[in-house]
Amino acid sequence: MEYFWKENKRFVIAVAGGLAFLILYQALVLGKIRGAAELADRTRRSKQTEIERKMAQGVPTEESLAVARKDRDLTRKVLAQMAPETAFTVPDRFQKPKSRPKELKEYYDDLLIKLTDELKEKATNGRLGFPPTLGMPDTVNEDTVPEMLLRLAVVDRLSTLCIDAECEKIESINPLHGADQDERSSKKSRFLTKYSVFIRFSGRADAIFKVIHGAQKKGSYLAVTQFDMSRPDATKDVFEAALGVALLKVDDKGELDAP
Amino acid sequence: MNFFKGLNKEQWTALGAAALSAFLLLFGFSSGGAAGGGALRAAAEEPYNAQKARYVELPNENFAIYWGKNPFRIESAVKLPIPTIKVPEPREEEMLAPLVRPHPAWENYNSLAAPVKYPTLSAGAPLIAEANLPAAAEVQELTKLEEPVVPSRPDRRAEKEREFAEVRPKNGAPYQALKVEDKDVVLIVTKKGGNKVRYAPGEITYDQNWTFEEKYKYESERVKPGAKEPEEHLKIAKGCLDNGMIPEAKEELKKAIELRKDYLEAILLLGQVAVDSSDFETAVATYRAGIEAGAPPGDLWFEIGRCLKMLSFNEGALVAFEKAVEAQPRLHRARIALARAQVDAGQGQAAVDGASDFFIKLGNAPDTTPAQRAEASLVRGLGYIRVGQLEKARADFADCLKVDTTNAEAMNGNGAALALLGEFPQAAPEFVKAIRANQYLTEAWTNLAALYLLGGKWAEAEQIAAAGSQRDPSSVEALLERGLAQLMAGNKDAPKMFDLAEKTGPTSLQVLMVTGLLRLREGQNEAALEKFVAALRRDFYFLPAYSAAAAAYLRTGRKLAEARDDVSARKADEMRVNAETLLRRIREFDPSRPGAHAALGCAYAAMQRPEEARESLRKANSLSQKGADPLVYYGLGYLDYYYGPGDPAANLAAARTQFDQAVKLEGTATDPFSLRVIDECKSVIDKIDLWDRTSLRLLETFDGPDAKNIGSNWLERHGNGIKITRAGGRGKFAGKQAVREFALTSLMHEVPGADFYSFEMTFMPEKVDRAEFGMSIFHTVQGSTHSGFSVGIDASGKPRYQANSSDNDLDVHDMAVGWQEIKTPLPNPKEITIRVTLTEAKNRARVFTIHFWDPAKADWVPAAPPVTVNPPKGAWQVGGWVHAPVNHEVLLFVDNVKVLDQAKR
Repeated sequence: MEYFWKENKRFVIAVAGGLAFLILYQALVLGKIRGAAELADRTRRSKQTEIERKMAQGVPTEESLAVARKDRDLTRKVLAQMAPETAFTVPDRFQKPKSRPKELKEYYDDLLIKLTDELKEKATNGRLGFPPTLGMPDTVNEDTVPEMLLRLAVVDRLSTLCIDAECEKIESINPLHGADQDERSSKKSRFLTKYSVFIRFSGRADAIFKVIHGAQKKGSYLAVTQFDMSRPDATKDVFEAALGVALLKVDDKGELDAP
Repeated sequence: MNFFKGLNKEQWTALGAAALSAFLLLFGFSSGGAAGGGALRAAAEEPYNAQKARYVELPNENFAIYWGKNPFRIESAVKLPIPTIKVPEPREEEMLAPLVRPHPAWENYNSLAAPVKYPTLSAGAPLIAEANLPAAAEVQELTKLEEPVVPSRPDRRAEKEREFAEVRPKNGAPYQALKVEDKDVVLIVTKKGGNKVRYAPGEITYDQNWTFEEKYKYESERVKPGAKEPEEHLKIAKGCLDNGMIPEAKEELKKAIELRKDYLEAILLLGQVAVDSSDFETAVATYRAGIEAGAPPGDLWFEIGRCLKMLSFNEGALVAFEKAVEAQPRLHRARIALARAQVDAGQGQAAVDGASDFFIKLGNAPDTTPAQRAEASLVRGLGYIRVGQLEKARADFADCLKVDTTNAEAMNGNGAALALLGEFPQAAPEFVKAIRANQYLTEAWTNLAALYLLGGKWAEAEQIAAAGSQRDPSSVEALLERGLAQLMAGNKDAPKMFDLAEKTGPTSLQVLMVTGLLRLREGQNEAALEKFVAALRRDFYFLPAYSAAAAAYLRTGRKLAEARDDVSARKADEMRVNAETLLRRIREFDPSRPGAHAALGCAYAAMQRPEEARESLRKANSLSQKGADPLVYYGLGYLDYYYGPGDPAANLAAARTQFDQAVKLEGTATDPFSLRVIDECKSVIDKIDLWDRTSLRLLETFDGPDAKNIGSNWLERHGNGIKITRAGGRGKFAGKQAVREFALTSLMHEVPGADFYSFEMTFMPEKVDRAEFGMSIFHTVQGSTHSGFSVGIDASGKPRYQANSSDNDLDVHDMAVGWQEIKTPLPNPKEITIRVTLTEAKNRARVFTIHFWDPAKADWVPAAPPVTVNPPKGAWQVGGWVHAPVNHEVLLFVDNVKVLDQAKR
């Protein structure tokens, strides 16, 4: 043994050194590379499965992709054109005033009271039965005031339409219709934001349709999202209507909702 | 490099191996294959579905371009609500025919396989053909049967056995003398000439010429005390009875009983004497005293039973006969009497068993007489009838008649059994024979009268019943039959007879039923109900009372429902539930009765349970043996009418088919109820046809909040100071006639004239001092002038009409000229509802007819003779108007403007 060591000392040290280096290289460099490769392989397989599933429904051709892209561009144009057409010009009084948050709340409260009185007076003059309240929440926080002002503007518009159309009665107004669903106020801007208001009213057939017609007037456009009409007594020209409208707010830079 | 120079061959080999290993390690060739991409599977091409072109199109600002014609216009011929029709009512309970007696218990009768059960009387529909009834001559003969003279026992105490005493001297010829006196030691004979001759006892024998009283006194005084003394007294008593000396007979019998308290013969005779004088109390006391004294109790209990029977105390009699049989099991008459009492008490099976036991134990006994066997057969026959075994009953009656050929009761029983079996032609002669055999058997008379009633021979029935009533004035059945005969013949005295029957037998089932039905016919539903309930309390199984009570409940319910308040509605529902319960009970008792199913169907229809109603009515139809019943078709039609599956038009069409079916029965269903139902069906068919052709062209009730605008589509003409507005749910004409005299203020509406049928309007004048108002149908237009038919109320409140009025005329002057006065007064001047109809008269001319609504009658009343017109068919104007002298205030409300169209046939 001693003889071997004496004879091959340098050789053994060199080989051992080389081996140690190789082991360390394997553990520290190659191991990590292999792990990443396995992960990439798994990802690739799952993607492959997914794309195969999608491809099972068909694969678009280049031509169809071209047509689709054309459609998309046209739709963008139409959208750009529609936005001003379907805009609801919010009267100044319903615009968010440039004031401090606390004053903002007071402004809303005052406006609500004032508007309620105004509409009641107009309803009385127009022989229209009016509900005791506009259905707006009594307390709002500073963040929701701008939205509530918009909803109030819609209520004002609808009530005025009913009075002008000589309807007989407004049974009820729900200005927060849909607010608890996808219309919740969000700081993140969306491409399309809807503020829906629901109203139940009655009157002659022509009066009902005057209201619907008036709601879609350019400049104060409200999208009709829901409409039911019934005649409780077939012998009378009195109909009961349930109308849901939405104020549309388009932000070109906002996020599009997933289809 | 020195390093490599110093290496030997082995070292080079080892170094090469190490280098190779390092190379492999360095490039990862040590394990696993290289990650390779798998080829994607080929996929189909996905077509691109181009999106629909999107564009913005907001509605035009001008609403009018969209609203040229109101698609919801009220004038677009709305169908009227379907007319109300009557809920089906069960077949009116027909008058129940009198029972034949003896009769089965109702429970057994209900399950009897008889062809006719609970027969009823209906005029024109006799159940028995005239040929099957005894001829009128026989009826006359029967009614003229002379009543036998009741054998009386005259009091002969003053009579003499012979005029002169017969004296027979031992030594001499016999001779007649005026008197023979026995002075113990000497006999003094007073001869006819007045001479007296004395004889010693034994010299002569003689027969006295005493009166019976003298004889009795003599014999009574000379009864010698001793063992034979009671027999002596009994003998004297019998003699007294023969001579009608009842008090003396009683005295002697009492003496006999006093001497021998258990002397059965004397006790029985004393009891019989008391019974003969209707002194039942004494008789029973005598018998009871005898029993207590130790006399044989069998006979005495039997006699007590007889007494109680005669007093109609059946329960007591039954107990007495039971005691008699218990005390003396071989006492034939007691056994038979017990069975008889059981029949009378309604214990039919017990009677049959008792009589059968008699035949088993005593039938062949030497001391059983044929008469007793015959009577036992009779009693068993009666028992069999009671339990509903009619053929067995007939066999027993035949056995009885073999021995006792004149037994009226057996003949009557046989006739009753035949009648119950539906063999009416054979039954009648049996009743006649029974009457001839015993004219005091009232049952035979009433049974025969019942057959005549069933045969629709009211006069004969009354005669027979009257004859029965004559013989037994307390017979409720006879009185009832007389009343029924009178009722069916339309005699006004019938109620009196029923009153008499009610007084005689207030709890009689038949009386309760008949009087209840009469109350029901008079509309006294509650009183009728009381009767029927009382009848049901008397016999749980008496089915006619169930159906009649149900009818009364339904009618009461319908009356209550007419009140239209919640409490009445609830009560009405309760009544209907009660009716349904009763009718279901009938169905349970006898599921084969179609009438019960039909009535139940009617009840269910009233209770708004259409499916059950349909099922019951169809069942009634399938069970009916008399053919189709119009009531069933009416009921089915009613259900289709209100509860059909389709729209109103389809339902009414289906209902009409059913009503048509009923009308087709007009020739076959001839009873009054069926005819009434058929008439109702015709009326409903007319209503359906009318509804089918009629539609609502315009209805304005001015509902809604008060408004200056009266509403759309109205043509207003004002500007003379009087304004037309909507107030309080009415149209309001109010203001002062300011511009000129009688300038017209009108509210008109355009309607098409092609199918015009009627126009009605209500006026409520509040302040119309000297003002005139009314309604017009302007059917003609010339330039700007509209003219036509008008009805108005003038300044004095009188209604008038004008066939050729125009708005121009109405705009300038009042109604004084050219307006016809309507003579019919306004039913309510404060609320005047006028209707004008345009109809076709018989001569095909078209006429306007004015009607006023009469709230008291809840109907339209014609106000004036029809006015012939020939209006064009273009666009008409209808509406109301008012005008007044200048400076006069007007306040007039109008409401309920209705225009109906009617399509031509």
